Amino acid sequence: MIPFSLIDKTILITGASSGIGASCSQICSESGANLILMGRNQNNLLQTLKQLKPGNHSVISFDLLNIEGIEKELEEPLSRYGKIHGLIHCAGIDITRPLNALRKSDYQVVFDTNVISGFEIARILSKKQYSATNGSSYIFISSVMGIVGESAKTAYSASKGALLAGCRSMALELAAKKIRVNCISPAIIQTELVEKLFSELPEGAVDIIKSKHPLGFGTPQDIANACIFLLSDEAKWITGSNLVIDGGYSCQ
Amino acid sequence: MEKVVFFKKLLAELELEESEIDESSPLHITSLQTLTLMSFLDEHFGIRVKVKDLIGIESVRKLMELIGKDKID
Repeated sequence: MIPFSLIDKTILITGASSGIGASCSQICSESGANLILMGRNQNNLLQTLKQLKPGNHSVISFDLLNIEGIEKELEEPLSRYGKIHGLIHCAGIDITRPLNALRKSDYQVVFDTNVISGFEIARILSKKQYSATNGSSYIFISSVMGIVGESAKTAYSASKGALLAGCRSMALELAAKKIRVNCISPAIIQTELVEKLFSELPEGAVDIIKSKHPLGFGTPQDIANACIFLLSDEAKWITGSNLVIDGGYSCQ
Repeated sequence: MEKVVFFKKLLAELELEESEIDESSPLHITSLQTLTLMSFLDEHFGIRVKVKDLIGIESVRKLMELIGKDKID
């Protein structure tokens, strides 16, 4: 038996056009999964698609802020696949802004993207017509910011904490349907977006951030490897958990 | 924006210790205040700056130059 095999499994991945989502897509396809890739940018999604091992893959270009439209958008592709065995909700945005500069609209956009869109997709996938009879696995990419604090991260950390709390209740509720629900909480992962943000910081600032990560920054593959484990049958007794993958960030 | 209003808003947003400020006032801000200032510039002037861009802005005058003289009467 191949460990962490995803053969004959169909996985939906949000935020698949770059970073952790793109890496998860690649590693899931190497493990044999058929993939439904969701993201805002069609061209970037097609780039991700090009990197995949051949399979029954498809892309859905969709802005998750359009929450009301998710169910309609997913109807046709989901019915084409029939049963869906997994979800990785990678899509997320970060607003780094002090409390006195945060507005209601900031909380709204962060929660809509990071939390509500993911929970809505889980609601849809957990319907009888889509949930696999032999079990499914949903993964929400949270963050260490959901368990520890940082100045100017109130909106972001609240949204990631909401994923952790919601995941536990969802795990209890969906266990009867053999659906497992877990979170992964990374610290800083070196993605193109993070590199761009770092380039905008003053000299020395990145070194200070790096010093808070005893094992250095992570890579998207570090998270993707954990995802294929949680999606696989080897993790069949794991639900409602939060796998912290942070290079030691939260030990301190 | 009128100068007087600008000074008042800046004072309030950054929670500066001074009771009053004008062009000649120094501007020494913490990293958190830098983030607040970035939001302030975006919200009131539609100016999006990076943290790097605010290095060296050590007086209210320099900040006003960054915003643009045409935007503050």
